[in-house]
Amino acid sequence: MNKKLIGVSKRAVTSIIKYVFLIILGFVLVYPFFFMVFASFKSNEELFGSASIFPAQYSFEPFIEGWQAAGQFTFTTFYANTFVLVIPTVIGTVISSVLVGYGFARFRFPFKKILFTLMIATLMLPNAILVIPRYIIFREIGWLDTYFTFYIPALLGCSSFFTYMLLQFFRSVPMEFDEAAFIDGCNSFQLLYRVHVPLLKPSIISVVIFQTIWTWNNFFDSLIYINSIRKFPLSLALKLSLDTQADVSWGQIMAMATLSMIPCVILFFAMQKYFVEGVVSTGIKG
Amino acid sequence: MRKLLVTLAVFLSIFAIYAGGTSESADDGNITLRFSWWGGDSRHEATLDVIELYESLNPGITIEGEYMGAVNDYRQKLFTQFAGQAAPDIIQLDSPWMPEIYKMGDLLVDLNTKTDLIDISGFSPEFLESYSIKDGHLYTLPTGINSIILTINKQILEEAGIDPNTVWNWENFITEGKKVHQNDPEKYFFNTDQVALATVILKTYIIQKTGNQFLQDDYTLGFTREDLIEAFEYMNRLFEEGVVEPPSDCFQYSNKFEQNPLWVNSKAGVIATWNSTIMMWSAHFLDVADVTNIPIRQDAKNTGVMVRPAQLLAVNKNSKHVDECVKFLDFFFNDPRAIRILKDSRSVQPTENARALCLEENLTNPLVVKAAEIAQDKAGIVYNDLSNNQEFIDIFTTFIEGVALGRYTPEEGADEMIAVYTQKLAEYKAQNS
Repeated sequence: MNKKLIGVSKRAVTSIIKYVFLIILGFVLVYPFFFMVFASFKSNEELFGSASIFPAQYSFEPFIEGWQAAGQFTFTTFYANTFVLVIPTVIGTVISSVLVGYGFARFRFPFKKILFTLMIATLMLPNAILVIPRYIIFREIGWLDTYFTFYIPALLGCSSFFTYMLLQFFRSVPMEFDEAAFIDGCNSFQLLYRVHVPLLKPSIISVVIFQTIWTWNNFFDSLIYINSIRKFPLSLALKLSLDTQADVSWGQIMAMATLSMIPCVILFFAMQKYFVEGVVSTGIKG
Repeated sequence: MRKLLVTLAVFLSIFAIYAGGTSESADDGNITLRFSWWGGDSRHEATLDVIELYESLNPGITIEGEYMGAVNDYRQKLFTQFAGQAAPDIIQLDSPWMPEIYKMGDLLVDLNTKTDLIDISGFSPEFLESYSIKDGHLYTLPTGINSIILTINKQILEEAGIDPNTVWNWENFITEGKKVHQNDPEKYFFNTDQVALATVILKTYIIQKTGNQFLQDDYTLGFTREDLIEAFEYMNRLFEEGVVEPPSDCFQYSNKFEQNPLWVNSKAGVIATWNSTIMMWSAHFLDVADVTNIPIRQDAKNTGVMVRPAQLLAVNKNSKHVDECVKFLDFFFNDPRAIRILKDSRSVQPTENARALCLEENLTNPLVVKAAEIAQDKAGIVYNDLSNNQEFIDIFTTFIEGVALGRYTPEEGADEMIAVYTQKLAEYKAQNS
């Protein structure tokens, strides 16, 4: 009896330690997020002068004023721009990476190995190297300052990471499905959208979530390709008034940063079920 | 499934029209100029207002503002645009970038060839000679005067029994300065950080003693080991005598000492800043604020006081409408209506007439104008590119930290820093010859 009691309490102690550790770790991870949300309500003096994370008072002034932004455009424009930028880019990415992945997984064609190696090689290319050549190409075609700089690479399968990810999934689908479908009279395109795409749903959703969040937060490419303020997405708009030598209203910027996160957070939670399934199934089967 | 594909196709083409359709309007006699700058909200608003006014006075001309907040992002983008020959027509630049821009080729219009379109008589010729002219060509115009000065909280100084009108030299900076901390242990005389110590305090200290560039154009040091040791020892005295908050505290606010709670809560009396930042960083005590020159030693060979253009404006040589750009600049710098709108959104106005107008109509805080003018009176050496080079500043900053935090004695610090500098200078020399 005694022995058992000691055993239980030992286990309890271990789990208490575990939980304390996890709670502290969780707090550290979440702290920047809370800092941002609460800083939305603070004035600059309070932000730099006081150590407390909680604001002295809650007012929605920074949200209202921040939304007006500087100059001719409000955050309504920037929000709309972001959707116009992100949605087609994501759709393009899904279409192109499904098609290319399918091609590599299920077809035999000349130079397949070389082309596959090339695709993997582009996966390794750091973005910084691509900037100047891409910029010059887009300038020659006259696409600078348009969203084509995002749509077209997405539509042409430039996101080789996703192609590779989906390719792995295609490989895990047994060939018997294909054979059965062919016997039933499917052509290869019908096979893709009647058999493979439904099976692929979880991993397509991971592609959607990843690409949405990455494009949503992509600062560098929008900075380089987009010139007109009227076409700025949120990631650029947030930095419109961040001059080190000027009086920056941090509260307003934090308020807008908080608002700009909301759609991504909603998307993630709405699709979380599929997302986790997708990561698991692409990662383990194979 | 087919339906889905059709919807997708329609969807994408609608977006495509939105994305591409709004590009450049056709040539129907209307001219569109692109004007890029960085800055804060007030600068954005003032500049946009001037653009609007100019457009209403000159029908057929549209000026598109491409503005941004952070200067580093702006720089990155601008250099990509230069490389891709897609830079805007009118460009705001910073003077430390100029050597690199000159190296990239013949990118900017020589404004000396356009004097029929723009009046440049209001600019100080020495100022233009130092910062805007290269090989006799006037490539840029300064948007304002920026200078390093001391901003003083008179109340804190008076509480400690210090005369706010003191003319500072390095000695009384310590003997008077330490009174603040003696009087109230919570307060300090001078608020700074390691970067400002490197770029403003110790560098000026050395230049005043030697009269040389900090790093000379022939890739040699502008100072001796003894000069550097003396500077480090001076810095240690600042900390030891309580003129400055202990290094372990104030070094946490590297490059942002204006955010040090000591300063925000009015517990420090003096900072050394650019005059363009006075209004923002000293907003919490403006009614008791004053400005004065940085410490200058009596036998200074050169005051070392930095006076430089706030920013520069230039016209892109590749622009299709160079003359229209120059006309706009003339309006921007010389027209009283423009000056009334711009005020000091780009620091103190660069031309004499504009400054007079601002003071007369109370458009600029007199403190800021005073800061520009007292510094111009004592203007020192024009820092060469090497002395402003970020890599050398970073090294200096590292050794300042090392000496202040006791990792090196001033002698060791000086020896090691000179060794690193000598090696770096040799590398630079090899690259550039």
